[in-house]
Amino acid sequence: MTTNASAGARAKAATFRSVLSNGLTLLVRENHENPTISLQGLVKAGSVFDLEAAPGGAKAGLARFTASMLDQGAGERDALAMASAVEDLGASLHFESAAETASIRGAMLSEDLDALFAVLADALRRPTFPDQQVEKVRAELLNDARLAESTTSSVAPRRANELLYPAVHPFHYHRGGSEATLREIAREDLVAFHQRRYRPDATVVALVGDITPERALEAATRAFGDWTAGPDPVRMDFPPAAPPEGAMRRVVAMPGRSQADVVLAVPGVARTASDYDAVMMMNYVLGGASLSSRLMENLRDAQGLVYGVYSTLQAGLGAGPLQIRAGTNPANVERCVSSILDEVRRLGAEGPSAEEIEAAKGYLTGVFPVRLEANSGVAAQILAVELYGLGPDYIERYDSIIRAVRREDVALAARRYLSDSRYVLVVAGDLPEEPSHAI
Amino acid sequence: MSENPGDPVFATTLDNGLRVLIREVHVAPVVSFAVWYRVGSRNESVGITGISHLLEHMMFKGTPRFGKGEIARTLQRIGASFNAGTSLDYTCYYETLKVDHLDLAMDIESDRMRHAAIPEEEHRLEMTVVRSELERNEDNPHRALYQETFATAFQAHPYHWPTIGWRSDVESIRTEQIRDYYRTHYVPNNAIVVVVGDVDRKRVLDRVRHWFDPIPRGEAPPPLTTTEPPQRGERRFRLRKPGDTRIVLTAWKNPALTHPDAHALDVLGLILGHGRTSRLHQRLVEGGMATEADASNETAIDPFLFVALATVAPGRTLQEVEAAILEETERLRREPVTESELRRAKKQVEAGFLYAKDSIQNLSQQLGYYETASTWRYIEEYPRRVRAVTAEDVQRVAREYIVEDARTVGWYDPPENGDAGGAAS
Repeated sequence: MTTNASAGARAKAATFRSVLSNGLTLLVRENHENPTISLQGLVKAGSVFDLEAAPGGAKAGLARFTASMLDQGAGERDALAMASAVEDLGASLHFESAAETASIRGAMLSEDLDALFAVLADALRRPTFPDQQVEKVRAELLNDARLAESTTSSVAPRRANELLYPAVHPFHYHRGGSEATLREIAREDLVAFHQRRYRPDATVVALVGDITPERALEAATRAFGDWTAGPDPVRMDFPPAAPPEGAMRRVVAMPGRSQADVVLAVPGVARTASDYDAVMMMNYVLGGASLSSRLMENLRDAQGLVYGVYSTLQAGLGAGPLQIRAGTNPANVERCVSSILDEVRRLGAEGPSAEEIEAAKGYLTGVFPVRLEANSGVAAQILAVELYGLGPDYIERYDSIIRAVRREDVALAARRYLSDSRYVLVVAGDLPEEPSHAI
Repeated sequence: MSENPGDPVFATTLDNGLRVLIREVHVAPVVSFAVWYRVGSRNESVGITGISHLLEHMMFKGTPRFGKGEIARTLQRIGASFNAGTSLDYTCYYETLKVDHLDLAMDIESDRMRHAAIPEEEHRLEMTVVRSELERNEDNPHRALYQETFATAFQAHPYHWPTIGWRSDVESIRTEQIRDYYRTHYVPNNAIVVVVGDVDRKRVLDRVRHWFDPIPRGEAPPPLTTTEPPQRGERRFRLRKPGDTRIVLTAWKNPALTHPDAHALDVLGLILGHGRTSRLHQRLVEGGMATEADASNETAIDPFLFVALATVAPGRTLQEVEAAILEETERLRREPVTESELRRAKKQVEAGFLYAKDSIQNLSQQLGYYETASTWRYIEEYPRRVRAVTAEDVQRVAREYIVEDARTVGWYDPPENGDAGGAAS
C-alpha cells in the first residue's frame, strides 16, 4: 500500500489564528479538495451561567433558551427570512447550548461565506427575541423537557448529577432546565443574558475547507470587526465538588418502560487538568472503549446483561462527572449494579495492565487521524485546542503526548477517581420508587 | 466490467462475482473499507423475520482465525472507526482507519465472508442484547409508529415487518437457521467491496484480489418474487402506548429508487418538509400546532413510502394536525410549487452531495448504498436529474402518488392517565 498523501498531510497544514481588535478569535485551516467550508464556533455562554441570573437554579435552561433564540429573528430579518437566507444557499447554521459554551455549527459552499457570515453576525450580535418566537421556542423546550423526563436514559443521568453536585454548583442542573424553570424565564431574561454573555472576546470562529486565511480574515472583519465588548468579561469559576461521603442510591419509578437505565457517577476531571490524559485513558479502559472495555466485556459479552454499557467523562473547563451508564432489563438491574461495582473496584485496586495501556494508546493514536478525516472533525479539534489552551502544535504533538502517559499514571488516576464506596447510583425504570438514601 | 480512466470511481468485478469500487481521495492518510451484502429484511420470510439483523450481530462473534471478541478488540486497538448496519435492502460492514492498517480490515472482512463461527452459545448470550434492542424500539414513539405504519401499508411485501423482526420470530430462530442464512447470502457474488481514501487504485485492487480472490463463487441467492399489490383505499390505525408524545404520520406508496419519478418526489419532499423554510414547518411549527414536522421521500429497492409526520404541540389535537398535513399535500396537487422553492430544493440537493464528498466515510456509504440499489453512477447522475425537475413535474407526481387511496395514516396517541386505552373509536 502506498500512501500518496504524506503522513498527516492535512494535519501538517498549520492552523491560522488571528484575534480581532475586539477579542474575537478566528481560526482557519485550508483544504481545497472540495468547494465547501465547515464552520464551527463557540461563545462562552453555556448553561453554567444560568446561576448568574437566578440562584438555586430557578432559571435553569436560560442559556439554552437564549441560544435557541439566535436564529429566530435578528437584525432586519425575521425567523423565516433568516432560515431562507441559509437554506436558499443549501447551507446550514445551527446553534446549541452545552454546559460551558453555546456552540455554532454550519456548512456552506465556499462561494457563500460572506452571505453566511452576515446571518451569523446578525444572530450573535443582533437577535431580536420576538415575543411570538419566544413562546414558540418555549413550547419546543418544554416539549423536550417533557420527553427527557419520560425517557429512562435521560432521567437516570440527570438525577445522578443532582445527587452528585450541590445546588450551588452549575453541574447540579441540566442545561435543558425543567418545565417549571422554563416557564419562569421571561423575554427580559433572554435579552439580559444575551447582552451580558454574548461578546466578541468570548467568541471563537473556526473555518476549515476551501478558504484562505486572507479571505477569512476579510470576511470576519466585515461581519464582526465593529462588535464591541461590554463591561463584564467572562470568568468561569467552579465551586469544588467533593466525592459524596458514602454511597447514595435512588430509584426513579417509571412504569410501563421496557428498559431500565442505570447510572453510577463520581466527580471527574477538567480538560485542562495536568492528569487529564491519564484519567481519560483510565476511563477508556473501564468503559470508554466501545466494544472492548472492561465493562462491555464483562456485562455484555460475558454475561449478556445489557445492550450497551459505557463510561463517559465530561471534561471541560470545569470538572464534570464521570458517569457509568447501562441499559438493561429491569430484572437484571441488581446484577448489573454489582458487576459495575466489581469492575470499578478492580480497576481502582489493581490499575490497568500493560496490554490495556498499549491497546489504549494504539486506539487513541489510530483514531485521531480518522476523526480528522473530514473538515468538520478538523474544525472541532482546532476549536478544542483554542478553548482549552492545548497549544498551537497540539495536533502534531498528539502522538507523543499519548505515548508519554505511563501505566503508573493511569493506575494513580484510577485510585484517585474511582471508588466502590463513595459514588451516587441512580436507576430509572419500571421498578418500585426509592428516594435517595445512603447504602 | 466498467473501467474508464476518466471515472472518479474505478469499478470492476472479480471472477468470483465480487463487485469492487475504488475511489482515491488524497486528503488525509486514512481509508474507509466496506463490504455490502445484498441482503436485508426484504429477503426474509415469516418465521425468520429479523434474521438479517441477528446475523449481523453474530458476525462479530469470531471466525476460526479471529477468536471470540477479537475482531472488535483488534480493530479497536488500532483506532479504527468500525460498525455494521442492517436495513431493508442491505447489510453493511465498514472500517475507517489509518491507511497502513488497510490490510487488516481486508483480512477480517474476507475471513468472515465465509468463515464466521456463529456458535450456539454466543447466539444464546447475544439474545439479551437483541432483546434490549427490541425493547428500546418498543419504547421509542417514532420507531413504534413507523413499525406500525410499515405493517399497515405493506401486506404481501417483506417491508411489512421491521428490520429488527417480530419479537416471537427473533426469540425462536435457531442457530442453525442463522448459519443457513449466512451460507446462502454471504457469497462474493452477492457482495460489494468499497474502498475510499488515500490509496492507489491499482495497488489496492491487487490487495483486494489477494484477500478475496480465493473465496469461491456461491450459488446465486434466491431472488425476492413477491410484489406488493396496489393499495385500494386509505388505511388508518391508532397506536395506544404509554408516553407523553402524540404524533401524526401520513405515508403514501412511492415508486422505487430507480424509477424516473423518484427525483421529482424527492424535490417534493424537500419543499414540503425539509428545513425551517418548508411548508410543513411554516404551517405547523411556526403556526404553533406542532413541535416538529418533516417530510421525505423514503426510497428503497422496491416501492416504499413517501412520509410526512408531525409531533402535536401540547393543547392541540391530532385531528387538526392531520388535517393541516393533508391540506398541504392537497395544495401540492392543486397548484405548482414556486420557482424559489424549486431553486432552493435543487441547491440543497447539489450542496448536500458536495458536503458528503468531504468525508471519505460518507462518500463510501453513498457509493455502497447506490451500488447495492442500482449503480454507484447514481451519485453523478442524481444531481443532474434533480436539476432537470420542473414545477410541473412536481405537481404531476403529487397528483399521481400523493393520493388518498394509497395513503396510510397513523396516530401515536397515548392513553390519558387512568385511561386504559379502551376509548379508541
